[in-house]
Amino acid sequence: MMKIDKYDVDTRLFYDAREHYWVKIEGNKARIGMSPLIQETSGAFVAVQMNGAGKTFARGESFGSIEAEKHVGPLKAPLSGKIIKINQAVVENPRLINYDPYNEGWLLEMELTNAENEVLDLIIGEENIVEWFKNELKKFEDKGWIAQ
Amino acid sequence: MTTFRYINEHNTTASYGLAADEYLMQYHQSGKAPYATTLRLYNYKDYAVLAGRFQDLAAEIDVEACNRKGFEVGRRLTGGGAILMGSGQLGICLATSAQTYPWEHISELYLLFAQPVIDALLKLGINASFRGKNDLEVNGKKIAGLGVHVDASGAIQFHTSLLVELDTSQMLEVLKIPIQKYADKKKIASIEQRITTINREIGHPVSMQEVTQLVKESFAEAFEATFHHRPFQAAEKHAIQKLEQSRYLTEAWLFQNSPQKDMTGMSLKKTPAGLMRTYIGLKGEVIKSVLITGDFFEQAELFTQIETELKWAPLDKKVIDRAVEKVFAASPSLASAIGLVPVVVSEAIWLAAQRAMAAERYTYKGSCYYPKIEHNNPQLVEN
Repeated sequence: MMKIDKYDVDTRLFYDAREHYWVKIEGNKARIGMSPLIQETSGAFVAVQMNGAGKTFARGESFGSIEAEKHVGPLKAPLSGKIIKINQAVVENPRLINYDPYNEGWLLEMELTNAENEVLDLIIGEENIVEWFKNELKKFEDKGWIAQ
Repeated sequence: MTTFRYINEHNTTASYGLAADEYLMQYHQSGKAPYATTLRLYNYKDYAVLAGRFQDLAAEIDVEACNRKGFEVGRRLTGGGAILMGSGQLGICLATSAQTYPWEHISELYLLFAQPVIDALLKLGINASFRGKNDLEVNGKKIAGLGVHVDASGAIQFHTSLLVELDTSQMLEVLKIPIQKYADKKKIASIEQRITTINREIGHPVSMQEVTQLVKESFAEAFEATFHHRPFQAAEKHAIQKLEQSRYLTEAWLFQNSPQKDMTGMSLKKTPAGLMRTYIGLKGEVIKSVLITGDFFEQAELFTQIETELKWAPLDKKVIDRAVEKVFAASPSLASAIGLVPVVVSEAIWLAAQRAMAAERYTYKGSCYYPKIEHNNPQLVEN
């Protein structure tokens, strides 16, 4: 875990730059959660709805929706695959995403169907992740998107 | 110059009004609709009582009272709290797509699309500004609620409920806001200290038609747009009816269960300024609303600022402490006039939250940081 500003960032994981997910890949399976930056800029998560385990999603397809403050938006799959597990604790208590994004606040697990190609679009490696995170942080601060 | 599709409707039913907004999102899903943006200005027939996307409808709305009064109930696609909509409230739905208005952070959409609403109010002599991300306020009182829904295809729906007028007593009869649960003769006054309307601000009634025209003009100016008035066509009305039948009129949609428990609580506290009543509404471990009333109405602004800070905030003692301290520090004259220290207020809020959770036998799972409240304070009064 690396400290960047006040954020603990796990640099051993993959990151989806657009949606700000972290992705932990083991074999053909992945556990997915939200980066500590996006969960802060969104404010408190009020509700999370995820479609049932067993369904298959292409990358970018919506596997559920999330409400933070009064914004309702989609949760888009960072990689293609079948959902094999949903974190019910997060469905019941979405604040876990805010409090513990890498551990108790994970969202779901997928069995990947096109990882070898799609993973190339994710950010990996400590140096790259630190650079991306710092740039994102600066952008978010400059634009006033960090929740005060 | 761009051309918006413009739709103006009156006296819609709850299910039709909501389904029409969703239809417009679908219309803009591909980003290839004949018009890149649609502005729909409308109002519901008296009354539609609408819950937010993930709310537990029965916890937010007194459905029995609605049935008795002939009010319709509905569930929106957008988030936020339950609202009363009727002939005195203007619904503003702007539907478009990320292809037309690319965005990175949701706050950009709020800023972009709420500005014409602020401009329209200014034309009436009302100086409105953002309160948090999601409301517009005038002198600390809410005048409009904002909401955004985006979907995976990039379609965007920005929605505003603009209060031209409001029957507060009707609202209190059908919305289960925490203050409603407790006897408080001053509750209408308390609500009216926090919510205002166009008519109240300008001191005389203005017609819905005039407000609608001003809002339309302001969107035209802000986006350098012309409008093509194109009401829903027959095939579109059919699609809207199908959405009403498949979603908005179904019990499965209306009464879907929320995994987060809705809880309300109150604390009473004797303070040098008088008796302070603090009401709180929780959705799981998120604060839906806080309302602080008491014998110190001239200082209500201080409390409405605290209430605004805490709306949709995580339920966390540290967050409550910070919010209260921040408001006290920002308004030293109001704070010193009331003769309270921040910790008294934050303890009252936390106590109300604890009582809300205790009443539902809910075990707090949140932050590991939540110090115990000192219950030996002689100023504390038990409910």
